[in-house]
Amino acid sequence: MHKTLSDYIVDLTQNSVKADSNVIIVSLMEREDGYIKVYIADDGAGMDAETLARIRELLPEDRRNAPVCKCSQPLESSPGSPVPPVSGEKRLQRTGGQGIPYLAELVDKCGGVWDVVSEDGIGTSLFFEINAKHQNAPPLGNLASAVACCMGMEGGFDLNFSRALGDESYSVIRSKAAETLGDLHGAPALAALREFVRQSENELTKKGD
Amino acid sequence: MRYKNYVLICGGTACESSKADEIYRNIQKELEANNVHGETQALKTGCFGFCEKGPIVKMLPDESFYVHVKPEDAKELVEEHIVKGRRVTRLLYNKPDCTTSAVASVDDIDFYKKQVRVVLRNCGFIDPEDINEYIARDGYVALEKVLFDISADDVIKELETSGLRGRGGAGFPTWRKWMFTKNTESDQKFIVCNADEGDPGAYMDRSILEGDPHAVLEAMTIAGKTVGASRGYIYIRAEYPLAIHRLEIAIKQAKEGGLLGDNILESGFNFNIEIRLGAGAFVCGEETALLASLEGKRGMPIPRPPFPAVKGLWGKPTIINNVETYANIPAIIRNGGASFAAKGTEASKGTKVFALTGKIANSGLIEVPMGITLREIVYEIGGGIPNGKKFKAVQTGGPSGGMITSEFLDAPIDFDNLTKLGSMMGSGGMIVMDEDDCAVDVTKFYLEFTVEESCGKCTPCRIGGAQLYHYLEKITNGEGTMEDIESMRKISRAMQKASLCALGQTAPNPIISTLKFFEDEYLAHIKDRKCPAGKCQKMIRYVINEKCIGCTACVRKCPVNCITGEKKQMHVIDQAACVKCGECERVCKFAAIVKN
Amino acid sequence: MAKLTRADLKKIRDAKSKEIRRRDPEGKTTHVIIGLGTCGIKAGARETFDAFLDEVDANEKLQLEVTVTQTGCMKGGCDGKNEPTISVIASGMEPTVYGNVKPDAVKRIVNEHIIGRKTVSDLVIDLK
Repeated sequence: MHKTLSDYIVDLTQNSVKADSNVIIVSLMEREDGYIKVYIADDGAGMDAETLARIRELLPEDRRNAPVCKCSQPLESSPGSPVPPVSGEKRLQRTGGQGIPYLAELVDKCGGVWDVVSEDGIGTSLFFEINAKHQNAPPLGNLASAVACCMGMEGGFDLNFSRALGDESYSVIRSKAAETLGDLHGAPALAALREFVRQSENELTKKGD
Repeated sequence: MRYKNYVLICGGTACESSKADEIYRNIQKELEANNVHGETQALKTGCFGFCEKGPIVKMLPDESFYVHVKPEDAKELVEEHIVKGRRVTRLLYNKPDCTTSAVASVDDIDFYKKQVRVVLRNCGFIDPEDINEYIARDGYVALEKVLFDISADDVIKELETSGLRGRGGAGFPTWRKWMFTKNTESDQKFIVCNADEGDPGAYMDRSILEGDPHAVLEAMTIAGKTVGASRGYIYIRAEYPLAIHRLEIAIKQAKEGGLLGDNILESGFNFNIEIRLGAGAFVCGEETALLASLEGKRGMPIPRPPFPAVKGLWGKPTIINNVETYANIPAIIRNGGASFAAKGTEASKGTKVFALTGKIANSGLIEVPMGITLREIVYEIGGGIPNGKKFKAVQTGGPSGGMITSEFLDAPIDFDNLTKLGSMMGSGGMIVMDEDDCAVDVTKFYLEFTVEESCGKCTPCRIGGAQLYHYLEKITNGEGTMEDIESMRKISRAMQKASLCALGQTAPNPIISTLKFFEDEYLAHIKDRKCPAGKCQKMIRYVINEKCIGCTACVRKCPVNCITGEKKQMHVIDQAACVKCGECERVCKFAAIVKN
Repeated sequence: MAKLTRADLKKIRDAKSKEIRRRDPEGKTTHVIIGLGTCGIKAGARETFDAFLDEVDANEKLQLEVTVTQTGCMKGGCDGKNEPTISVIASGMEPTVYGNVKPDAVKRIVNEHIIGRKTVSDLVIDLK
């Protein structure tokens, strides 16, 4: 198990980057009652039916056989993104690492739900929801550094990160950030990005209180 | 796309002739075979300059510098360096003294330490066959500026501030040429690029055209806009096929991209550039002869004035600059003339590219700030004289220049200093000579060249050159007299004064220069009938001394069977039959055969 | 290629110049690549990332020279013992992979390897 929720986000986003995605959407929604829902979707390589079935084995039995909603529509590219949606012709196969098994374990321990759908060449979409007030739930952790970390990964993808707490929200778009801050592999740009998220997060939690 | 690794393969003429293209293709193949072609970019660039060590392959980002690479090394380079991240030590550049293990990177190579790359900034760095790479390196920024932001007078002002002087030889201030052409009223004007590089051992212009062709195209277009010309010609010798090929690609790409042709960047300005091939006559490097050749006439000079800036190609005002001069211009307009003037000396600004060849450890193409000393070039960049020999002189300015001897090693190199020393900047050839070179013999070589290349139009050059060569031949044959020296001095003075163009005016320079610095060598040839360097074949004799034990090794080696003698007896050489090949001296184990 | 406009030229410069700068011999760069696979994250690679960012951002000279990139699990280095692993590619130096890079090791790598240009030999791991 990872120590913080932020770790899970970095880990799972990393999978999307590795799948050669053009657009990745990460959203973190926290309800005022303490439930946290994370949604990570990409238009990358996706998994074939067999791999997906193997991963879905990790789901609790009652969900395992629920009808899978096909993500037959490619993701819309995020606003301002220079990258058109994928055509779905990629040969690369998404390889399952330890990320999803870790997630399954987390959800199991703190009584939440998770699911993943994927289609070969179209993309992958994953979500999980946990009760952050559950005694086994990990803390949110350093979200600012997690966002900087995801944004600085190697690759030509765009990443739309949005975060909501109750009715308040903010978002960061990788291509926009790069326009303002410059090369997102340079430490000053990444540090500035991290600072931006840190401040936004502060304001958010203040308003939320 | 962001690549993790880059493989830069030198694609200059020298490396290309040592199979650089095959190396490039093999590396591409290996990258694909190892499935790393997605993260690694292989590029063929212009000349790296360090031709002595070619073919060169440079790996980035860690800047490993691989030398003398062969096509069959591609597999190891990719599998070890790219895939496993381990350097291939056996191919890394080693310092000449070999005390340290493999040198780490470009930074640690003496050859590059003192260099300042302005003109050559893109050579060995970008893919010259891809216009986007040039654009990404601030290419065509200067043209945009000239088309949209600044006036023609501003351009000339920047050139004046920069202090740029022509790199083709004489060092005439570029801004004045441009101003004359701009101020001359005419319905048509022309922009000409002199790429007729002809000095023996010089290849600066070729390397610039091969490595960064767009810089020249951009500068010519800027010139066109500044003076109001719509046509440009690049006069290049047909012996430069690779440079021509790269220029053709560059012109095609610039046209397609709307950076040449009609309505450039929608500014309403039209400019076209065409390539014209020369047949390699040295005199066509002279501007009026070049223009005559461009017009389809015999390449012969005409008296100036009028200068081409006022009355040039087809009688119209014409800017004619050399390749290196043009290559300096985009950066001057982009960064301002003052930034260019910050380098160099009071009267010679900027940097100069030299082709360093001859008796030198690191031969190659170098770019150094004006004002650097010859010592720095020869000993620090060039790595000194190989085989422990002694430095004798450097010939600058090619056949029109002169020698600079060891006492002037610390004189700063610029246009005026070199002229003061009796040589000239020329286009930038630098030939290093050591103690084994004979001053008279080298002079004879240059005169042979200028006699061969004289167009024959004016008498001083046609007859005078041949006479000078005749005297030099007499002296090196051991038949010279003291009167010959006097005659040579007289003819030289006449040629300098009366010749029509620079070819004839400067042809005696090597003689004047060697007579000044190496008169003793001439005297040795004339009075002692000896060539001190042992170079002039007619004057050397191989003799066998008493150390000979009669082993017959030399007898067996001699190609003309001119050595005779009984076994275990002293042998003798028949001087009349001897061809002075020196084989007997090399094969003798007892130092019994000597040259005198 | 279609005719270019000034805006196109700017676009090409923007898009390509960063990439091309990586080849630039003048703009010396050091690339730090952090292994952020599941294994790395579990071992604290996120703290390592943060520490690098802090160290580099605090030094004006390094700001311009060092890039920090995240990658997945580093092939071969991931055996449950060496994480977090990072790879440092500095111009003129042998590419090096370090293991067990906790925040205190980050300081040493920045000072000794990136600034001092000497490999921190006790942290080096061998990737096979």
